[in-house]
Amino acid sequence: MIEDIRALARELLEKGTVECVIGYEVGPTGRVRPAFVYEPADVERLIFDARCYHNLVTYLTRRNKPRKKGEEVPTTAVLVKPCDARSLQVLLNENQVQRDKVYIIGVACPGMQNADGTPELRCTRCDQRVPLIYDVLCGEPPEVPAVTDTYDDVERIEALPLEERLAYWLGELDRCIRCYACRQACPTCFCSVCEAERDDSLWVGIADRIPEKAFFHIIRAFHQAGRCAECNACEAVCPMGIPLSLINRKVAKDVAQMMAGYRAGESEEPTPLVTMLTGEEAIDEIH
Amino acid sequence: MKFIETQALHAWLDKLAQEVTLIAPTAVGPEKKAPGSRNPAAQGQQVFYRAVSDSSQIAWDFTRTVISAREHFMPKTETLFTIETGPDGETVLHETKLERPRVIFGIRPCDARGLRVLDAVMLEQEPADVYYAERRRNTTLVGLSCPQMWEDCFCTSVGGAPNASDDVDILLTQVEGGCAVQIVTAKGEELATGMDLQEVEGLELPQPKLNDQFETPTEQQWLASFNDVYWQRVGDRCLSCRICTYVCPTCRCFDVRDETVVTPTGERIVRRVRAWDSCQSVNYRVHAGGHNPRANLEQRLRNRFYCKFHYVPVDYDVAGCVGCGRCVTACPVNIDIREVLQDLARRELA
Amino acid sequence: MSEANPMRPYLGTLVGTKPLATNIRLFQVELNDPEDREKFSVWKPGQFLFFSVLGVGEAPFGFANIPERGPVIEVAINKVGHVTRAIHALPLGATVGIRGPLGNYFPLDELKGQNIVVLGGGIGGAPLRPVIQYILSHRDDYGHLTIIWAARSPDLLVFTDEYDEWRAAPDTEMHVTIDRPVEGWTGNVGLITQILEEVAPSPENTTAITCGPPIMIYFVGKTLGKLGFSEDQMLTTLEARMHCGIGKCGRCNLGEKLVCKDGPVFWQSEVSTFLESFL
Repeated sequence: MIEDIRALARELLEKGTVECVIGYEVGPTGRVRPAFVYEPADVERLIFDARCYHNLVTYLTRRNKPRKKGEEVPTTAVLVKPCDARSLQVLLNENQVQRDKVYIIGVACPGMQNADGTPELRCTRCDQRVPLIYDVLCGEPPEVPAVTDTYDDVERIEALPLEERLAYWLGELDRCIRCYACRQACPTCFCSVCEAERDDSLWVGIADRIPEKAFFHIIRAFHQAGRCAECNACEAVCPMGIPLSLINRKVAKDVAQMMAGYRAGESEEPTPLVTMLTGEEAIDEIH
Repeated sequence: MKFIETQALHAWLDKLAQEVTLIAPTAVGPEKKAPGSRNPAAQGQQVFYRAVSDSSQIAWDFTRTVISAREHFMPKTETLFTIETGPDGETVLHETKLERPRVIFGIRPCDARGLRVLDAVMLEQEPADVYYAERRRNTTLVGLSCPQMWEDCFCTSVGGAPNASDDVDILLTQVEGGCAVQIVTAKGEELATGMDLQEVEGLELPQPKLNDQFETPTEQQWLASFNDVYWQRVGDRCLSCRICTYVCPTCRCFDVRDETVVTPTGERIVRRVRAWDSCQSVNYRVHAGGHNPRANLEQRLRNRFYCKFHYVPVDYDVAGCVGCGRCVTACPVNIDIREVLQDLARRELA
Repeated sequence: MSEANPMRPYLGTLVGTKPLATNIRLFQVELNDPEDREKFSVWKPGQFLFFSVLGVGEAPFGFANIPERGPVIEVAINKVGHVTRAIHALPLGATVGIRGPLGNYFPLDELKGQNIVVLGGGIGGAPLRPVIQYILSHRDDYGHLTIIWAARSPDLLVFTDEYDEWRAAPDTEMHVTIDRPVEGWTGNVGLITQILEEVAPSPENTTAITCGPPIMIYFVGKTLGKLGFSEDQMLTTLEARMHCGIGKCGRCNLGEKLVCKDGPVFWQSEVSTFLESFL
């Protein structure tokens, strides 16, 4: 499969179809990381295996802007797993990425693994092995496991009495250092000025206090309603190990319940939970 | 060589905790979070420097804390003053009270060395920051040598050592049955009067296991690399989060705002608050009018490297990085400061 | 610790305000404590202060006058962010906070005997007003004074009611320009760089002092270079987001220089390498 990916990447770069291929590589100390390949000769750096958990779609909104005023937006190829593809669909629906500026290399997903070789919990709940959207698919789709996400992790928390639930979340969120890595890693968090970072502290102040920290995460969860593809990027990057996916999964569960099994990024329409401004109301940039 | 038995050390710490604010490495968070996760932070408890009430709360076998000790000199948030209304309706600014004396026990030599940078900026460069100065004056540092350089550590490549005593008041080194004790400063001398010290002849300090040392770029290489496309290539991967700057012992950037907070008892407090900020954040430099002079990611990433290795050394004659390795461990996309330094150091100058 | 706390503002009172241009007003502040007034009244042209609306926040502004024209402190403030909006909304008599004087200043003593060219763009003219005031108050110490004042449009020109006084001063010329033609405007039209090329001041024994948006400083520098000015004959004052004004918060760096501490006044030669990344 990796040979297919490399061959395709080489072809895309040689023909000038894309400026850059975003994939994965192994860093000098053996850690897997996002790779940006510009030269055909460099495609040998690319790898793909069960350690490639980063959602590379997060880099696309940034690349969707011209580097200099008046320059054309370059086309980028990106490797996407099924969950990544759903977040990309959300961005396409919300006009954050232009379809003709992205070349989607779908990968048949083996499921991601933890450092100790066990499958990532989220991948044991996932029934998608092939992305819903791609230009080219690499790899043979493994057999689809017959699983349905029961949201048992969310239900365990929901079952707790209110005080315990509150204590659990305040305890977890107290460790937050407001580094915003969760937001920065999230493909569907792309506002140019985050509500939590406004100069006037309108919604959230800058202090390292539980109310501010909790409120930031709650705002983020609400803004992800019907948009979060549960790619786990937020939780994977949290330097404090806060179970952030659990918050988003709670919202995803409620959305699915309220809206006949709705899942983010499975249709080509923007989520009904987001108001799209059109015509005269449309704004170019979010401030 | 002075020596203190483990039991005597614990007894001293227990007593100390009654007299001063004792800050020490402590394991925080739930025991098991997400075992097996690729996120190192999710694999168990994490160690921080926290106030403890007795020696049993101290994590003795820690590598390095997640956040450096700088959070106790420049807190993540502090109130500069509260803005109050006096009896005649006049505005009164009320400054925060002083803290009681503190001892930071178990500070690693690299973290203590990091205070050189903060001292240079906050204390020695006039006018001194009174909040930092007060905390610094009020605090005695009892260091604990690293028995080895941990994964990602590179202190020896930037002038430090895992057992350096230069920046602490007392340095302890774990040996069989207790700790060897080096008293470094007068402040340390004074604190050590409460320790049950023995003089052990021929006690030798263990040699820490070292990581490979590497060459760092020269001043000329830094100057020649500012406009290099290299920063775009490393910046490609960067997420513009703040992890590297928040775990760093020598980062100091802050934001200042006036905010009204409501306490749990319902009291409204209007205060001027200072909180950590990061040169990596997208809107760090944005002018009130919206202009962003550092709008490109690679400019922001480059600034962090130049700040550590060019601006701080040029402005304050002190090394801006202590090689603690925290940013290496914590970066979610593996931007490895050691890799960048070695890449630049290998460059041929035109 | 209050005595020497550089983060603590002096309390003052807003004693006057008047409109200067669209969204730009002049604010006059008198410090409440006579001792503070005494300590404060040593500021020099080019220095800046932090202006607080207590409970809202503080922001840095260049002094718009010299102490000799005081003792009130004058600042020109453009309504662009949340602090400046709050300042514009202040009633007369309001209590405000002032920190300063901060930063370095124009080396006007060193420039004695020289001709001076002052180039101000938009609200960038505000920190140059004390330079003009100082030179006019010490007129015999300086040679020819050329003032070139620019704005995008006539409604953005600041200190218009003082142009007559400046023009009438001995050995002084003044040129005003706007970027694009506007109905009813009979003066110069064109970018400040065009007017500068037309006026073409001689670089001999002359220093040019520029303030405006970074992009203007950059291109004015280029034009001055064409006219034969060296970078050691060009002074500029820069603006940056900052939170302390005393070299601590790290935000305003321009290479290894800090705008708040090593500036805001710089020789072009000190900053030209970094100016492009500042645009």
